[in-house]
Amino acid sequence: MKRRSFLGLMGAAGAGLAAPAVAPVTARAAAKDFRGYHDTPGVLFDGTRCIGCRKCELACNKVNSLPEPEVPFDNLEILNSRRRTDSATFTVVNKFDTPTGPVYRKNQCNHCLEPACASSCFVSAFQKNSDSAVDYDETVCVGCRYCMIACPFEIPTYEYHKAFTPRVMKCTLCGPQMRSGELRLPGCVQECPMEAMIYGPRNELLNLARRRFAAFPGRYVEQIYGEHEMGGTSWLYISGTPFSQVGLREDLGTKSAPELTAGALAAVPVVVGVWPVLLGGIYAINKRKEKIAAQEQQQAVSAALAKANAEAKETLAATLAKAEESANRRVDNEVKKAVKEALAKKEEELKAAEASATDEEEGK
Amino acid sequence: MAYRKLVLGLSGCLFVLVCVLFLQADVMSMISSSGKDSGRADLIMIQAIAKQATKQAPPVQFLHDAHTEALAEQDKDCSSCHVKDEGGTISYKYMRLEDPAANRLKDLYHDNCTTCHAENAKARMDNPGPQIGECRKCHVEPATHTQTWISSGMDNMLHYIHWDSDLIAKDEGKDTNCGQCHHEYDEDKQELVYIQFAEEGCRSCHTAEPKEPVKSNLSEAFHGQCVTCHLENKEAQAERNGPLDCASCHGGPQRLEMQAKFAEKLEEMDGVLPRLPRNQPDAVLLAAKLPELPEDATRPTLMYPVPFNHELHEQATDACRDCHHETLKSSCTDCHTLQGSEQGGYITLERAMHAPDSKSSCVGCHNEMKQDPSCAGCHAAMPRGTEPPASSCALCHVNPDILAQRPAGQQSMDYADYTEMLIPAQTDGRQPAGEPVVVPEDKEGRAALALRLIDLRPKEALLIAEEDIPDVVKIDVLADEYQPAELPHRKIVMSMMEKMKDDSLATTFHATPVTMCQGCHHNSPLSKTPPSCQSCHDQRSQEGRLGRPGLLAAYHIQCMSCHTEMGLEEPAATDCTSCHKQKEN
Ligand code: SF4
Ligand code: SF4
Repeated sequence: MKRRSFLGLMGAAGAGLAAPAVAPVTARAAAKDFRGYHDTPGVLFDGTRCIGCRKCELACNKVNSLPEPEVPFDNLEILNSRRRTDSATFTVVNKFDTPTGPVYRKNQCNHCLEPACASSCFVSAFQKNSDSAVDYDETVCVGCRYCMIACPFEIPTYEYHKAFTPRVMKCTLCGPQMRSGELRLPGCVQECPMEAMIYGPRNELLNLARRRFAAFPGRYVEQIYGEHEMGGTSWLYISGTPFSQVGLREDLGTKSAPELTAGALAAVPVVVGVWPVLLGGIYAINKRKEKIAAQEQQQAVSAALAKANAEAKETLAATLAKAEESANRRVDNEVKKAVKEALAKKEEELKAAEASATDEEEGK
Repeated sequence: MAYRKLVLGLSGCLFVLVCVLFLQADVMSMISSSGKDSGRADLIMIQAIAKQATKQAPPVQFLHDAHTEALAEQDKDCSSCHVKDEGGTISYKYMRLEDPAANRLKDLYHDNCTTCHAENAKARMDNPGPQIGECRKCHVEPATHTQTWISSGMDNMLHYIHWDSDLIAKDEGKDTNCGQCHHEYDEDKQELVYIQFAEEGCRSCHTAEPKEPVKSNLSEAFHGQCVTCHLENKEAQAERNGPLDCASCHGGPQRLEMQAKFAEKLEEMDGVLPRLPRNQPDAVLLAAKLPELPEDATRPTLMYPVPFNHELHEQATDACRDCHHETLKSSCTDCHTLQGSEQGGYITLERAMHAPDSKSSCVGCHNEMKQDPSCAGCHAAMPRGTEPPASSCALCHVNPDILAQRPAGQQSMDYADYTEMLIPAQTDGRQPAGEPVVVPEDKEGRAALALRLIDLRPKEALLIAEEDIPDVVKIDVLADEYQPAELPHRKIVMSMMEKMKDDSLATTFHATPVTMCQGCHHNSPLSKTPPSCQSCHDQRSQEGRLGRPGLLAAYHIQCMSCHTEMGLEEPAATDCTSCHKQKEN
């Protein structure tokens, strides 16, 4: 069982593990003074090297057989707008304007050492694997999308355009491909012409980062993002500009998601790592519900519309109907209004060919 | 040269500004929590009440420049609020020379401020200032302004403008005017006197808390001296009088503007400021002072002395105090001893000269020069670490015996021979015990020796014969998607040589004809035929060579970071086809 092997890993690194049955409690106790997962692999991203070429995005797309993007990868204009990951894009490079010129940062799942997504998932669809990848198992996923709310980095996204088998999508650290021997490095790391990313044992990456700080005084903010954030992540960042200026939240603290909310419900056995985040998340759910719902709606509609460009017009109508139906089930009237607005906006953008399709939709 | 000074000056100024902003933001948050405006250089918090036992009203935020301007409109000046002492020096304090008791001080402010404001009201001025009874107009809480001022000082150009000025009277019987500002206290006569060629910086006596017989602290001294003189000039309707407001000296933007003007002026002067007329040496032989040793003690091993080009460095620094800190009267080795002394803050001579990150150490300052775009292409990519490279010791620490072997002016282009000069008899560049190099004791003798040693330094950048530099290098080891890249190797080398042609720092420190090559051919031995990039940067996967870039990344990082550092905007890093053409197929 993967979850157990993850906890076992924690136990082995921190304190001796007596029996799997008490694993969560032992792990939590050990987590207090636990400082790092020494031999697990990770990736170090050096922001001073990235040139914003999007070759990593291209590689990711190829390796994961993702659909062709709307904007081709050799178009760098797109860097002028801020993007986030979505169900067909596991990684994005964003451009940040700083006083010393543009700085680029790649964004993808950080593969947290103690992932909030996994803690919040009550069917254990997310598992931290011993090779550092946070895996997702679509066969057990019930589509509640708590993981999306729990993730502090806003990474997992949902396949809204799939009516029957929607999955939560996110970077896999190329775990499947590397385990099968198809790849030796994550696709993005392999392809970067600047070696802005380095794959290796996490502790060696931390040392390497510090060596760079020492060798080039003044070049870096001498801190490694992901070393302690949210209890540590397998993806590490070093940067020449303050992290908050390159879109990395600096308010996350160093406690992992399970540890953060464990105290109040420590008596709850076995699932102690799961429920606290879930319950604690309810507050966040209520707060973010509206925002996410609106985002979801927009994404659903634009995904459906994009698909329609390639498919027959009838398919478009059907997909839209489905998308809207499923959306209706979830959101209140206010959000519906947002949908209409979004649709009206989309309509303007569509050329004459798609005009009829939009009419159909509006006529409903 | 001038450009570099401008850039350094401006960036230094910006740095100071940023520092001040950060520090100040913290300090000021105590005074002002709302601080909405961008920060004023003239904000003075009048806190007379703070000295009292109980707090009666919040401190007053006094905008000095606003008052200076208002007074000027009424044809009044500083003397409306500041009194002069018997010597005619204007007091830094409001309406007084000395501080009375807290209560009296309060009355002093209340009486004088309100009287003036009341008079203004009587004269039906638009903005007469708060009147009696309007307490909360002055005693505001929370504070509405923030204070941001930068510390001011005389840099070389500002200094030059003063000692070159005809508006300042000449010293008696001399054609200099230094004595109008510089003075010393004569114990016997119990008065201030001027001694030519012994001028000191103000800071050496006027410290934050001066000791008797020095009366005024640094800000009192500066303001008393500068403002009094500027005011006198104004009263005499001189063509220029110097600033009388706060912001001109202490305002960030104003300072930047001034620096820009100075840079322009320097350019007009062909980038060379006349040297200060203080009889300072042209060259100095820097050698550690030996501690007192018992007769039979073994002499400690010392490095060879360093011939220091004082004249050259005067041009390259902003002010004498960049190196001399507080006083000009002692030499570096007086305070920075081998073991470190209290006077020198326990910073040993070795650190004082070599600390890589200190602005006042030789190495630190030279490191800063490397940030010039002409140099940064190579130097920014070189790991800097915490110590200067050992191979560079012999560039400064020269065995004076070399003079016997090589007469002045005779420069060798044969670099095998040249290397010998750099690393004399003892391979580690150190003096053998018991056979100390005889360094003259007297100042003149040492200066003369230093000059002769400086004279041995290369006068121009060294380079191997142009035809020995590969012309175009074809990089095709990784050609796959693109056609091979053609690196204009010789053109790059020659353009960099051109950039350092007139730079004595570069010509001295690029000590052999192949030193330049190390910019790209790093980590390989000095050679006309360095090993190829592939010999270290292979194409293997990252596993097993953590941190050392593979060949593809090595090329890209090298070329692109150099272009960025040198400020070359073309080609863009992501414009692949500008270096390697797309493959046609
Ligand atoms: S970044 Fe988000 S999705 Fe990725 S492991 Fe962490 S919590 Fe899960
Ligand atoms: S491939 Fe490398 S350099 Fe290019 S955008 Fe991605 S991380 Fe940056």
